[in-house]
Amino acid sequence: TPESVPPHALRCFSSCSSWLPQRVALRGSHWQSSLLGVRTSLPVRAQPKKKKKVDVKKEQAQKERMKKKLKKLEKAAPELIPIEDFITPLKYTESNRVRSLPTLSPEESERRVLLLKKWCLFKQKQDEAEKKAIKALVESQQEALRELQLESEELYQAAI
Amino acid sequence: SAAARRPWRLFGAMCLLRLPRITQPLEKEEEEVAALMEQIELERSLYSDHEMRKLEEEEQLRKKMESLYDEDEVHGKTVIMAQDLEEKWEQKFLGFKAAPRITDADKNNDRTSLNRKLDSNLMLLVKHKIGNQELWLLPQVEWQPGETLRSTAERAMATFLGDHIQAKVLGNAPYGIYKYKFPKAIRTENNVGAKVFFFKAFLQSSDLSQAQLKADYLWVTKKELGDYLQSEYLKKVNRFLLD
Repeated sequence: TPESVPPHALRCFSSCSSWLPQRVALRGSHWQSSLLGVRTSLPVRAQPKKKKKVDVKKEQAQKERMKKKLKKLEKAAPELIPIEDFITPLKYTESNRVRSLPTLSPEESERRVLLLKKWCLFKQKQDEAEKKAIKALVESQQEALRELQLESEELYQAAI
Repeated sequence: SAAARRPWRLFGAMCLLRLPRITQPLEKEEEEVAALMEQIELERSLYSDHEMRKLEEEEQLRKKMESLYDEDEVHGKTVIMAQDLEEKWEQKFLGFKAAPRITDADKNNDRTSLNRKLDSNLMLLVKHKIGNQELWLLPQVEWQPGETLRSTAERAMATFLGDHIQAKVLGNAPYGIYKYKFPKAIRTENNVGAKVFFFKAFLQSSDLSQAQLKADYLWVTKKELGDYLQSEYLKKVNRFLLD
């Protein structure tokens, strides 16, 4: 109660009045609860920086792990992908699907063999004719280029 | 260049080819072997779904005949048999009419038309006035300094067919050469003869309505060349023509 305050205490208060406003000002700042709290504010501001460092390290560690996994996979021999066309669907393995045809007579087999031999010869001749034609074509071009070179080096260079 | 002037006059000629539009007919051996291959393929194959269905239906039909069991009347619906389908397809096939391989131009032997000999290459021949003769040759013009021989050949094409010709020239190098000496009457030391360099091109579009044909021209096959070209010239041209 104000009546019980002794007179010397009042005098104390008046001499303290010089630094009292400062104390009040400090108290007013929103990020400090007390004078001693000044030191605790520093870590609060540095927190984002630490996040970056830690994250960077974590990310690097992750990347390395991924790379290791990739290397392992690559080292493993590539599996063969089954080709769809080579797998016969099961319905075509049923026995009732087999065609019933008369067997070949010996004359027929003879005829086939002779025909295939004739075909061999025919194809050989065709192939030789093609090769000959290509050779003639190339020779004709070589001759033309030779003559051109005799005429003019410039035109020859433009042609090749 | 400071080289002495050569006594040969240079010409660039273009062998313009219209490529075949249909396949050539098979030779006898090819037909025989094709038939054999088909036969072997049939022998080695299994029944297809359609054939299985046909066989089953035939089986059912036979059973019906034997057991006199009329199922259709009971259900009252008509079933389309595989046999019916086949008949339908056969009718459709008979109704199809393919385009003729022999065109009107073939029948009339109209050699100026591009619409003939659809299974062969056709080449352009143009009538040139050389000296006091009129000769059938592949279109050619004389080379002018400053252009490559390929451009000369292209110019030859444009001279006779107009600028709107769509052709693909095959490369920068000439395919053949025909060398001849002028007759003694006009031969001089500086003007001994001429060298004609042949280039090849494929005609891209068959539409020559835009072309302004400046002289007598023909489209001929390799076999028909002999009717128009002189033997020495023909020999050289034949070398770079693949049939």
